[in-house]
Amino acid sequence: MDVKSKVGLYWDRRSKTYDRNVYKSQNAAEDFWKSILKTEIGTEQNLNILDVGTGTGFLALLFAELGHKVTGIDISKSMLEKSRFNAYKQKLAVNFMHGDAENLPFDDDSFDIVMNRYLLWTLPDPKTAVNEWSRVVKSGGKLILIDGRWHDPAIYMRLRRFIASIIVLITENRNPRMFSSYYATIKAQLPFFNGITPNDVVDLFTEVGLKKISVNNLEKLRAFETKNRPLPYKIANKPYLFLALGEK
Amino acid sequence: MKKELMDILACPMCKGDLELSIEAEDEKGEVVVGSLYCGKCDLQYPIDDGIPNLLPPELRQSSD
Repeated sequence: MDVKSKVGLYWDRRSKTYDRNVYKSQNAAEDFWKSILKTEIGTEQNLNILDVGTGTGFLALLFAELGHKVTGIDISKSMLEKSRFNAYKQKLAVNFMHGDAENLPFDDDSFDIVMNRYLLWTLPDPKTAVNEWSRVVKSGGKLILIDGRWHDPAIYMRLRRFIASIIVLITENRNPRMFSSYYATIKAQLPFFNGITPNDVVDLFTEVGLKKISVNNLEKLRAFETKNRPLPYKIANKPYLFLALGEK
Repeated sequence: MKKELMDILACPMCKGDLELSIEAEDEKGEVVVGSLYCGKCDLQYPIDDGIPNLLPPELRQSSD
C-alpha cells in the first residue's frame, strides 16, 4: 500500500479518539492559541485562509471564530467528518474538503494565509508539500507552520514514550501501540518522522522562494502546553514547539 | 460545498479548471451530491455528503 494511503488509514482510525484528552481545559487552550494566531496574522478581517491537514478542525475553527473565510483540507475522511461535526456544534462555516497536502486542488495565489500544525512529519515528500503550500499563497500572503520534535529517537525519550503509552492504555482506554504498528513500516519513508528543527523549515522556505522568513520559539505556548497537557503527553513529549513564517 | 469555491478549485493533478455537475443541493444552494470533472486529465472527483473528494486517484483507496 502507498505510504500516504497508510497515513490516511492511521488517521481515520485515530480520529475516533483524537479530540479526547488533548488539554485539561479546552477553552483555555483555544483562547491561548487564538492569541498566538492573532499576533501572527494581525488585525485584518475576512482573510482567505487554508488549513492544511486540518484534522479535527482545531485551527480552522479558531480562524473562523476570528472572522475569517476558512477552508480545511485533510487526507482522512473520518477526520473531516469530525471537523465538520465540530464546526456544526459551534455554528461556524468552514469549507472542508478531502485532499492531499502534497497535491493541493487549488489555483495558484488563492489564499492570504496558508497554515498548518503538526503536519510536515506525516509527509513523505516535505519539499513538494512546502512548494505546493507556497504556490497557493497570494503574493504578499503568508505561509505559517507550527511544528516540533515528536519521536525523538534518544533512548531516554523512547523509555518515556513507553511509560506514557502504558498510562494511556490504562487511563484513556485506547491502545497507543496502534501508532507504532501503523508507522513501523512507513517511518523510513517520512524524512521528518523524528521531528523538525527550525533550521529545516527555514531551509525549505528559502528553497521555495519565500521571503522575510522568521521563527518564533513560542516560549509562552511551551509553558502553557507543559502546564495544560495531561500527564502521558508531558512524559512522552519535550516542549519543543516553534512557529515558522514566510512571505510570498 | 459552496459553489463560490469553484473560483479557486483546480484539478490536484494538472491544476487545470474543473467542471461542476450537481445532483443534489441543500436549501442554502450548497452542493450535497455531485462531481467535479477535469477534461484535461479525464478524471472525475466525486462530491459526496457535501465534501468534495479531491484526492489524487491513486490515494482514493484510503477514503473509505
